[in-house]
Amino acid sequence: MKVLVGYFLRDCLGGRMVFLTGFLFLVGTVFFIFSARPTDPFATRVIDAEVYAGDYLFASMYFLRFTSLFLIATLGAHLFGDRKDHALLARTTRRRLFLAKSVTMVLLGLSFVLILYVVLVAVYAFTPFRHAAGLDTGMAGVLLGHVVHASLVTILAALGGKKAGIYLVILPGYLFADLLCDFPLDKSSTAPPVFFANAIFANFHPLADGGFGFLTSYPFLIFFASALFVGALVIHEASDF
Amino acid sequence: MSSPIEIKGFKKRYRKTMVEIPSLRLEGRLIVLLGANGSGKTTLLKAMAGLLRYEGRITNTEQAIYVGTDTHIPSTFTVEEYCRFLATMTKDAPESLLRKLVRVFSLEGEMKKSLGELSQGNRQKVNLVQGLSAKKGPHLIDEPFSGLDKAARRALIDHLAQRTGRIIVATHELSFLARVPSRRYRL
Repeated sequence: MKVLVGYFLRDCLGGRMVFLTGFLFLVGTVFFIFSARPTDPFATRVIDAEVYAGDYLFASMYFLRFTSLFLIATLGAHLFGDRKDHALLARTTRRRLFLAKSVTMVLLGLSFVLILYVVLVAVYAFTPFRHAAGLDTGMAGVLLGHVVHASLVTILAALGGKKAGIYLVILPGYLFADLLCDFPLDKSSTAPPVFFANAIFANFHPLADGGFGFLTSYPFLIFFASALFVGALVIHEASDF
Repeated sequence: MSSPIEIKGFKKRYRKTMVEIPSLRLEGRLIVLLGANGSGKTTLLKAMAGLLRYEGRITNTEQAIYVGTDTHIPSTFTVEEYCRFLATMTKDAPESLLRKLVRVFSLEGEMKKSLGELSQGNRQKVNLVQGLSAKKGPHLIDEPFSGLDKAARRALIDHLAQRTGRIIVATHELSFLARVPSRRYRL
């Protein structure tokens, strides 16, 4: 299983992407350890950075929900799509393949969040934005987050080789859906397409408005995810290769 | 001698077409499947390897290994890394056999290249190496000569002639197999 997961991670990300991931982690860690304000005790600096990044990570994932979905969908399509894993099927079972692919997807998703986290900590620690980047400062913090994320997506696009086209499609989608739709735009001064998208994406929260709250509860989400997983496993077992 | 492969009442439905083989008995060590495009050669090989859902019965193909031209080859691995991965993945593909196959297909000079950089012919050679390196069988090889040059075709035929165990080949290029005693079946 470990060998298979390693194979899928490598196949999915490629050499350059693995290098980028490692590099970002290294740089982020260095920033984290030698973060600004050297006169503060180390523990205080770490706690400050972590609190900031933790809060902002949550908000970022909310703002980036479309991009995250596209990213996961792209990786998922590469792993679970119409690829002919005959070489692997000659050496293992379909079930092990499916489980290894699922573990790979979880690891990729976690890596995405962790890279984001490390970058945010580094930004907080070293850039002049650190005093304005808190969530409570509103627009400045949100803009900074978007700049960081747009940069990440662009780097991924540049280093992703043939997959660049996919990310270049995602980037405008991200800017349109995430950046424009989430700001509290003044309807009177909003261009019609933006207002239309805003109405569809930003103001459409039927589940959060009460009545169906259980659908967003953890037990239900875990149950739903488990049911999806089992369903996907059954389809994978029975499908043609 | 291996037991014959019995195919009875085989049906595979696709959206607009259906492959149907009422009854077929495949005997011999080296079996060649012949037939026009769309006659069902690939479908039958994949069904034997358990890669397709089908109606009917196929016997004596447990542990069959399908070697197709559309097999996913990871472009980010070098040939050497991919061979090492295959050897790690299963005890059934010993490194000695892998090395032998690399020599058979003259891939020694390509070991450091990434699979994505290889020509179509060399990718097909790697594909054959990965398929033939698994010792269990039978081996079901779909269009093995596709993209191979003359020397590689000859090397493959010599290797197939020397190998033990059942091999089923679906091909249009019968002339290349004329040198090897084989049983031929037309679909």
